[in-house]
Amino acid sequence: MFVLFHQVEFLLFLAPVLVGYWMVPKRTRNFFLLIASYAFYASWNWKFGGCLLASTAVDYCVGLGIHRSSQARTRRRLLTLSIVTNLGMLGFFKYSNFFLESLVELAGVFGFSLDIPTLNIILPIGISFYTFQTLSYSIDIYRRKLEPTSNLVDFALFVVFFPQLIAGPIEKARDLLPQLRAPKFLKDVDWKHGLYLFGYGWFLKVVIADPVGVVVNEAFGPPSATVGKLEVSGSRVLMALYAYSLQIYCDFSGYSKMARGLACMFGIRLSRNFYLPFFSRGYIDFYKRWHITLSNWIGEYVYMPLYYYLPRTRLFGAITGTKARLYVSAAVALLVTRIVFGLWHGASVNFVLLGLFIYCGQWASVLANQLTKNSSLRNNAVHAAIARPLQSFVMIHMFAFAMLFFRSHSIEQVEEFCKRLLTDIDLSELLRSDLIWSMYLPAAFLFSYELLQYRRDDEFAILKLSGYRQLAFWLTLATFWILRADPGGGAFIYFQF
Amino acid sequence: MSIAVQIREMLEAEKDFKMSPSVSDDDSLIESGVADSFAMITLVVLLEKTFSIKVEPEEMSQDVFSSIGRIAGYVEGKLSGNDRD
Repeated sequence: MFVLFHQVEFLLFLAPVLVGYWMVPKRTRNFFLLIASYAFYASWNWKFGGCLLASTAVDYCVGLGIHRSSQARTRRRLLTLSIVTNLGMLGFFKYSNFFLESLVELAGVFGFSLDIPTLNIILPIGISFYTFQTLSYSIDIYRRKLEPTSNLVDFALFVVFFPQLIAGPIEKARDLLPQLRAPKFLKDVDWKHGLYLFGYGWFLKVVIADPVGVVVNEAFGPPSATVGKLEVSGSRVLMALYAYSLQIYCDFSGYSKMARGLACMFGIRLSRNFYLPFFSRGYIDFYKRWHITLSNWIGEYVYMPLYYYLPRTRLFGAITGTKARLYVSAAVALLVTRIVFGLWHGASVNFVLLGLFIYCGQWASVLANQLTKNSSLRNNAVHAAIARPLQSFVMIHMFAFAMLFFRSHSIEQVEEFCKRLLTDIDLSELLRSDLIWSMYLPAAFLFSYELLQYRRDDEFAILKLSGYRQLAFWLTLATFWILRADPGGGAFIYFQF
Repeated sequence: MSIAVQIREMLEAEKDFKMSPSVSDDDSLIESGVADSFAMITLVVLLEKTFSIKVEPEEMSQDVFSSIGRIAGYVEGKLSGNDRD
């Protein structure tokens, strides 16, 4: 299986593809990369290639159809076809069982007993990412923000480009398609940044995320378990929440960096998906730094249309004043957006609660911002020295708590762990010596390195330092790698979405 | 002073916006990070106050409020409509 970027098998796939790509004639490069990308996906499960092909074929035809048609009704119908196809596939594979189970529970509430068996469905890897990507293509053409491509190879490659196929970044066609179409030259490839992104992403996954997962599994149980543990002390839960925050950040941002690094080697620039999220000033700022491409997608295609549409509805007629209507509209649109965001991760009540928790956090951020924006304290040195670190501190802890919804196996585990967090904390357990090596040292290293990037506002800051400083950095990485690397670690967490 | 310039100055003066000289009149305010949806509410209030116009909810759309140029066009339309009244 080639799909795990951090395993040796992937290098056996990458090396011939990279060499072949730059060796074949320029006009056949995209075709070569398309075949390689299909082979990459088929190495996981070729049977689900049908979903990829369906999404590709429908949106290719829909894009051309919308562009050629001048009738509003035809254009709308074609867009609906794209939405139904993509969301239909996503809904069937991802949410069928959730809806069936909810239906049984709902019937139970009204005193009916339904006997509907759950379906044995495997979620096609990457479906949540590529369906959103192809949808954005059709929507942008419908909005006349994008011209469709008539080149099927270019379009198919836009859907299936292997570095970002499985877990993003979710690219918009207006950013990626022009790059795929443009002629590329080996001499223009930015190998330095590409290799750095791939190598550092690999480090985050193999050296930090996978080993720290042991602490998480001790409390929550392994991710594959159907039932989570309940008999766990509050201290262990607390530790596991911080460990999971570290794990998921290094796992997902590590994957995203590797994807960008790989794309860079093919002369393609992918969007940045993470930018120092734990240095954010609150929840609003956080989602401009965490899974940026999903936030942007939902913002552009769900939140903003709702935000402008709702004030015009009859429902909002009772609210007087544009300002008040817009505030209520923002509140409702944000609520819908956050529930969509939660459910995008998976079909369970936990993810709905996650969305609601983030929603409350975002409103707290908005209110704090409104209350303090004209304060004279805001731009002085005291603010910079105390308030900014405090904002990050609060954000880190809120994020860690939100992970309770994200990582728990069931709502019962969330409830039980909440109780234990309130009643069963022994701080001395947090100072266990094994945690220093497994968690605290990697976290301290990561924090120091990200602080450097934050202060210089440059994710490539390390590459601009003097020789001996860079040497110290690489030696630290190598030491961690020798002592901690877990190259046989599991799949990336976001592959399950 | 043109309406687009006045709107630009308004965005530069108000703390809710992250305006920079590199943002052109055609750039999307949301995509270029100048404003988010909450800042757009502030913008509506400022437009109403500065140009003495009334922004009706049904006139607001992603297209009309996307860039400085488009907003300026909308304000000009409102002002010429007001003059005719």
